[in-house]
Amino acid sequence: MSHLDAGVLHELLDGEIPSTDLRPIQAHLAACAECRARLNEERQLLTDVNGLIDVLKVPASDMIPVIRPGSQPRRTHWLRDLAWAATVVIAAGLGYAAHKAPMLEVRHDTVPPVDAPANVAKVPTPPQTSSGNAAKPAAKARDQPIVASSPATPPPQGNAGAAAERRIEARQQKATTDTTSPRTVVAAAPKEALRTIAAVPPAAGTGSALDATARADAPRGNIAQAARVSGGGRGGGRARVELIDTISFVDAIARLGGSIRLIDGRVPLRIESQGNRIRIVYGSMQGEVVLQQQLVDGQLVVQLLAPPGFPADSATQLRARVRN
Amino acid sequence: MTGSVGDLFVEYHASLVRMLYRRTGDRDRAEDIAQETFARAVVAPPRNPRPWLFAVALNLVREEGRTAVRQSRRLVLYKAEQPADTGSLDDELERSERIGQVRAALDDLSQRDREALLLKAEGFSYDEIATTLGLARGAVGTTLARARRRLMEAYRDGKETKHVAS
Repeated sequence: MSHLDAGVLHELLDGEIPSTDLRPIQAHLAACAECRARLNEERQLLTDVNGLIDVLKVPASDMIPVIRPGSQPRRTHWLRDLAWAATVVIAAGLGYAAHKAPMLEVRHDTVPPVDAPANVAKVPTPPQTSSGNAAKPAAKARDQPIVASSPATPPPQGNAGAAAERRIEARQQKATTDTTSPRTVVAAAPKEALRTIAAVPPAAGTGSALDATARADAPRGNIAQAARVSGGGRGGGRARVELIDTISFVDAIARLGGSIRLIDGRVPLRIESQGNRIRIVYGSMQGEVVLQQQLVDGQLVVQLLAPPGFPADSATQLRARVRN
Repeated sequence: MTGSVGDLFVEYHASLVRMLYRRTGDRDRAEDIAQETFARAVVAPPRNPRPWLFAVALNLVREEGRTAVRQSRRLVLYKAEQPADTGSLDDELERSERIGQVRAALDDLSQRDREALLLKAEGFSYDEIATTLGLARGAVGTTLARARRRLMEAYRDGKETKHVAS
């Protein structure tokens, strides 16, 4: 038998020789000192190489598994279907309410009002400012399709039950790209740069209300808006609608006063703006993990929002990795 | 379907990231590519998962400029630097130098040799290596023998070059 080649010796060392082929190789090694010496050399080589490769280690703290939720198409479709259904229900409710009760007017940021009250301010939105302080009177017009309450006239609140939030992912492409163009800003909550809209849903009787909040400002470079609905209790109680914008990283830093927190070692799926809150959205096996932050009295307040079922120890680990 | 991919994730994610880190030298990129690989597994669940996952991941590394990975990189670049590990500065320098030498030696290998070595380091059998890299089963032993010898030679050459230079 000729000498064993290097490939066979490595197969032998790696334990990959089938038992049926092992006997002639062992017989050759027993008889051939040269091959035995080479086998020892290759064994040493194997040990050295394994030692070298082991040098290239990934730090253990970076091994938290995360998968992008966008890669779960079925779940996304289900949410999208739910979003459409919720949109239809809300639209029907608003239409009915508009027909039944005195209502205020809701205007989109980019669309001038047709019958704007005299004291609604029309201001050019500064590039990075998110305040809209113009006071809006409680314009009551039964024929208006959607209604908004002024801060002076709080919406009726009755048997509104606190319930789990339903997320609507119906995203609307925002038409405007010129963020410096004048727009109408209707302010209800200057701190939040949000406005509150109230209506009386049909089945709720006198004690129910539907509140909707919408951003009165528009960030630079926003890509899309999403509507978020918070579901009410039984009988169609309260619901909150908030518009969410996807914004750029630079804008997010500017809105937070020049500083931002991220989870070290994780790559955000996107960055959202919701009122004066900045939401850094990360993917996980259980859904989206959000690092929410906002300036409160000049202080950056950071919250980690984990989806239901997210392991507590993983959340603790993520919190420890929040970096400036 | 999601459950089975979840199981794969738990079983292979760490190994995949480790292999990708060794292959790319970039932890963030390794994690990005691993996530993309599992995302593809969700869409098209593999029958023979380990070779499939590693083959897809290695293909993504070769593609280099995949859009999703590039987009993520832009955000990664803004992130704060990883705090320094514990240990003295000398230890850290020595460790970094050794890592650099090993990586340089690994980069010296042909693509096939390098990938065979990295898969073997993750406990792949010869059959799995053959499947992942599209090699004949009988060629794996020869490939690994050559790769190991060349890695060692390149590593020693790199060290000698450095000593001569210094």
